[in-house]
Amino acid sequence: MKLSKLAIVAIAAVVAVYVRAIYFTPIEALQGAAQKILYVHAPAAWVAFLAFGLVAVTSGLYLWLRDPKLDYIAESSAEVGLLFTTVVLLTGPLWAKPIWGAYWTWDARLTFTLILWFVYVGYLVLRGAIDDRDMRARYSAVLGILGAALVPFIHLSVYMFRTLHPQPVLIKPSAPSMPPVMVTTLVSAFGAFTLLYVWLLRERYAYAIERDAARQRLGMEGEV
Amino acid sequence: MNPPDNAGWYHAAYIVAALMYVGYIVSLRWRRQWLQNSPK
Repeated sequence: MKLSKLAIVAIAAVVAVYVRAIYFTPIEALQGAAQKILYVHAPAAWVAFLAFGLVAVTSGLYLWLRDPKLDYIAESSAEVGLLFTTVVLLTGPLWAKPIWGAYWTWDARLTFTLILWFVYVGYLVLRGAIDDRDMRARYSAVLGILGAALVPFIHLSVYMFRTLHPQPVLIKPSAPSMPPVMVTTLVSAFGAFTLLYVWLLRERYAYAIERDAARQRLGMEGEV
Repeated sequence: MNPPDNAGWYHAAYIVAALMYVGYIVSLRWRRQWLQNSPK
């Protein structure tokens, strides 16, 4: 299996973040080692928001310019964003159980995030259900834009609603509410997972191009 | 006061996240391989 330079850099960065988080970042005094879930949970949430933001931007541009490449980018970013949202929804409960005493609570942020996940599952199902390429791109562009509208609500939900979920420790107007060594690990994790996203997006985009070429070669209108 | 002993939870979360990413890239490679092997 050949790996691009970007792939090697992304994999190395994620492995470095794992090593730093496990071996070189102190254990938080109140929450214990479970707090280290922050270093995979929060960056995955950031990347999911970034991915769905890109879906909205490229979908809007597609509706304007009708360039199929923009639709491929939106489709690819939606699938990769869904992967990262799944990681958020799996790692969150593993953090909640030892700290809150329950895997899940129906508070605003968790519920909105679950709805976001369902919206983008629906987005991918919609794409698979429509054979006509232009119609598929237009309908999914509208859904992609509407789904991304949830992102600011999810980020601000901890301010808008009473919730168990902690307020942001890094992405907020005031200074970070953690020691510098933890901030460094968290910022590194944000960078590493963003690189991982860019690599996965490029791979998924290449697949979308190849799939469409194969579909045209075979004279098929639907997904291959 | 000693912090609570709950390292197993973060080990589980790190493993789950790694499996998700590796599983996705493997599935993507398989899909591209399948396309390349589709009838010409």
